[in-house]
Amino acid sequence: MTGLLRSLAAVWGARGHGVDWGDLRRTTPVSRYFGYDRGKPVDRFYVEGFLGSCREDVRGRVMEVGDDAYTRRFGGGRVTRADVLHVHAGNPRATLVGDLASGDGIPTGAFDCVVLTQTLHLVFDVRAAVRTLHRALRPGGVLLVTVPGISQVEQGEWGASWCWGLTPTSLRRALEECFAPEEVRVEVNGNVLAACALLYGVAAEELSPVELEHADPVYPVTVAARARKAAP
Amino acid sequence: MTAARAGRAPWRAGLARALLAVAARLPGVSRASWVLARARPGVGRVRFGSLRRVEPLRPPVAPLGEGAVDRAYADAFLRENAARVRGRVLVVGDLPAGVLPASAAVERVSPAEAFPDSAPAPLGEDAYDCIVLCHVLHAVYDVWGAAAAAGRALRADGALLLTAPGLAPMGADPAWCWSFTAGSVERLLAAALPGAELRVRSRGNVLAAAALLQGLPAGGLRPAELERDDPLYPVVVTALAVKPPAGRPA
Repeated sequence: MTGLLRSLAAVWGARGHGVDWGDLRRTTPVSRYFGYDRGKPVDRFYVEGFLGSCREDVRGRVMEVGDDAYTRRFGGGRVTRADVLHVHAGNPRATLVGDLASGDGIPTGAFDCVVLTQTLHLVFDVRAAVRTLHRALRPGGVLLVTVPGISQVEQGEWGASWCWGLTPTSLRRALEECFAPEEVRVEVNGNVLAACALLYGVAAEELSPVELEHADPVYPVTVAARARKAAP
Repeated sequence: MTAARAGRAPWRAGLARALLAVAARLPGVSRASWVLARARPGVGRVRFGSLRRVEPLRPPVAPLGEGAVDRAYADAFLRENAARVRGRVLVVGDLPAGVLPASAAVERVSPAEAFPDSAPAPLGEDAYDCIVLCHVLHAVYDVWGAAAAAGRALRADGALLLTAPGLAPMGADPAWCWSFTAGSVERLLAAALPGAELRVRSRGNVLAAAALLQGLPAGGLRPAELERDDPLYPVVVTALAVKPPAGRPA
């Protein structure tokens, strides 16, 4: 019964150029929270996959933005000190209050690792932020950074400061303004299905691992980079 | 996941959605689509239809391709502001013919000529009454410098007409650097043209974005679907900036 009605609906839906949009013929997403209310957002699946592949770099004194969840999860016992950077004072988890663009409040040569996930795109002057990050690292220290490529804008405070989607081209160029090219490794994740899932707010759990892991660089959902500051 | 939820009589929800889906597409009751928009499929139950594949339905098209969703928004913007295209006009990039008024004396340069990678932009100062930058800045790494150069090249009372991609198959072109939001376009233009009158608009919604990513033409969407603007889904950002008259304090 349901199957028959679904087929009927599909036939109606297919009038637009032979495409069956299923449930996706809608101008509002399924979730307005990147799918957080349904499971793990697709972009976080890629972010965590990348950090998992770089977990050995999360060690010593580590700085993360917002909270230290990834520092603890991927660094574990390798971490000697976990700093949390927040742009506004008053956040109880913050150990540092500072601004990546101006560099104010961020110490020099202090960190063995900086974990910066889905944050750099909020900074209008991306290049200034990269200079700050490079300055904050100790020689030999590693920056682990992820940025959105194809993504909706967040609601609320962070949405208002959302500036960019990046590509491997722009992330590499921005990093190479400070880091030596041979010390920069850039990877890109996503495909058209993963991009549509993220846009509609369909969670990672609702796709298969094969669907998520198929990499089609035409559709960069997240771009990630590991950049190491040259040892003296 | 289906088994875990079997106790909730999923066929009922499915039946309701299917009926709504049919009802929403009947002629004259298209307003019922708001009902459909509220019916959120359960976790693991989203039907992707033909979109459940890791390859796009059609190969990605170049920005502003004929009939594409981004082109529809850019054309509408240029039509609205056609009266601003007058005097000495500079068009950067290969804007399709027919979009601009035939009367205007248009100079055309490629993005690489206008915004060279490692040299100052050769556009000059106070040179143009109108500058058209349609889907150009996404492929310029120094987007801040390019916007500033365009601002300098504009005469007082001159108009900058800009469109920029927000959601698109960015990897189709290896030169592609940025996608934009209304916020970043506003900040770029406010810095490039201090005191200018700015009108920045975010066009599109999740469905329009999905159609563009899948390579599907704008013609496959209903006008109401194309016209609904959801600021969280900037498929195209459009901006009109008018340089303040000389002498007016910035």
